Amino acid sequence: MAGDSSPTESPPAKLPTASNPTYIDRIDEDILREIFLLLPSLAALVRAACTCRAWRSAVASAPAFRRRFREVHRAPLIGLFFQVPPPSQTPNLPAFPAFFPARRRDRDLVAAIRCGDFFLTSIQERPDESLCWDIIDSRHGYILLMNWDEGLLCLFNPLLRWSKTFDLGPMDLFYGSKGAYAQLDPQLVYSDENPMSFRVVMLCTDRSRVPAAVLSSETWEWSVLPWVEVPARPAKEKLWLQDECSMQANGFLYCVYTNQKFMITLDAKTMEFSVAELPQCLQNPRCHFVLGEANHSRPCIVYASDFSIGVLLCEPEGDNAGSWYLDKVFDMHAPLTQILEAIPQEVNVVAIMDGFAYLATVMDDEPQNSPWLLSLCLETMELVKLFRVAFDAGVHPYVLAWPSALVGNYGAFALGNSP
Amino acid sequence: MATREAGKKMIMLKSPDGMEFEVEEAVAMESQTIRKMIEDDCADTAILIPNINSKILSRVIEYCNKHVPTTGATGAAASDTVAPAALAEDLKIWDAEFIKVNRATRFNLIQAASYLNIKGLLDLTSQTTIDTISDNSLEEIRSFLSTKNDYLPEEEQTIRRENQWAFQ
Repeated sequence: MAGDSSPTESPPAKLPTASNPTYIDRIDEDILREIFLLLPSLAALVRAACTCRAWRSAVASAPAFRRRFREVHRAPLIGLFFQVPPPSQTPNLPAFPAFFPARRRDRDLVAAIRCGDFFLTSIQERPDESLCWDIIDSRHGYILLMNWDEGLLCLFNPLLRWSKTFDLGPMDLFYGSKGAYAQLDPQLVYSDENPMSFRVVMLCTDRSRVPAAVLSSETWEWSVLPWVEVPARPAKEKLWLQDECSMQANGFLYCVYTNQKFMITLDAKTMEFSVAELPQCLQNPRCHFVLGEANHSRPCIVYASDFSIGVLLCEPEGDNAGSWYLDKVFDMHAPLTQILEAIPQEVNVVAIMDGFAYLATVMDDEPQNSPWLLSLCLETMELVKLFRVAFDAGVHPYVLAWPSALVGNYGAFALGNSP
Repeated sequence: MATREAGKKMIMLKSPDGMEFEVEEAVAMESQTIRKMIEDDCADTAILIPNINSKILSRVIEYCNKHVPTTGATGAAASDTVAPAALAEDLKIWDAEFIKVNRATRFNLIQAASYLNIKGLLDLTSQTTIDTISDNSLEEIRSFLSTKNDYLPEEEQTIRRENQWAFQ
């Protein structure tokens, strides 16, 4: 006991005759949450929540706690999925996404990689389908795979080793279409507060209109929303929407016109479309950009032009998608020179996830000079080199998702269901 | 060695079991809760600290006395002549002694630190709990912290199955 330094000048307090021992499970939720914030990892928080109902409830009942915990412990990047390009002469050879684990010291990261099925062996177990799976989306711990030849989609969670295969779009998708039509890659739409249900949303186009098809995890059936006329589509082009990588942020889906002048926004809550002109700096067709989420799910666009990286943020306007403004432009020349042995010819933005942009260098044609993959923190603009890869198409970062068990609305444990 | 100077503002803290503690304002203001009361002029005479008995309150005051910024404060061991690093080391040793208490006292201190909003004390008192959760299996956590497992076996199984990686 530390009795050496006189605590107070007042007379020593008399000890209470009977003390009521207060054990930790009687501590109220606010204090528990303060303590849980000091835990070193998400794994420790999961174990704490699994200790007793009251502790799970303390974690799950407060979305604000989730945000604070994530601020202290950023969701670790587990690794990146890449679409492996098939040999150009034989496009129907089996193709499968490749996974590259992140190489960092992080307890959660190592445990997740060891436990999960990131080589997608669970999907290979389906012998009756050809093995031509493309990865088209990665969100909240799930990846969405597409088998174009078989007309199938597969939703897969590598950590749960859970998969569900379903049709790639409804039969009557293009019923009533006018002129040339196309469907874009579907995207996974997920709500933080309701981890047990999600939707797959697919945009389609005809000559001048878009409908959306939606599949809900409650029925696993597609439904098609009515065709909507959209303004300002380029007159001559048949395929007038770009179909590159999934662009989604804060519950909005985005799709850019091929002329790179306008962008369609779909509000996944109301399923309403809106069209807005792209900011001037993005209208150059040679300017390649990616849209995703900065910190706190804030929509952001990152583009690369020569060795400048530009970051645009979205100013929210009530329930609307909001308007874009240029937040910062960052010259990459010095940091690139510092961390790479050779200066690349070019740098491309290949993905954005959780406040990080992922960049790929374009090297010369020497085979030993395969591209570097780099990560760029959008807050600090810190550039880190990850690894070299032979290909940089279809890059999908996989980030450790917040466990469903730590969300209030979680099946049998939903708050209010506790005894 | 500074002794208490005349004219230093004193604050009276009262525990619900009737004990009164006279402390310097600077010491009391280590608690953000009390600081706010003083700044809002709600602390003219005595401040009643609900839910914290005199035994715990005296320990809290002991902690604040030691941790109050040292310029001229009571108990500051000759701060002018001791290097900050040595002072920090001294505080660390003092903290380690301070926290050698039984479990009931520790949890009472956690509650007091939280109510009075004394971040350093909360970090110190909850560190054992943090270490226990961080480094042990579920069964060990329950036994060390004497929490009662009230999950049905199949419920616990579900959480474990879905989060296998967290139980490695």
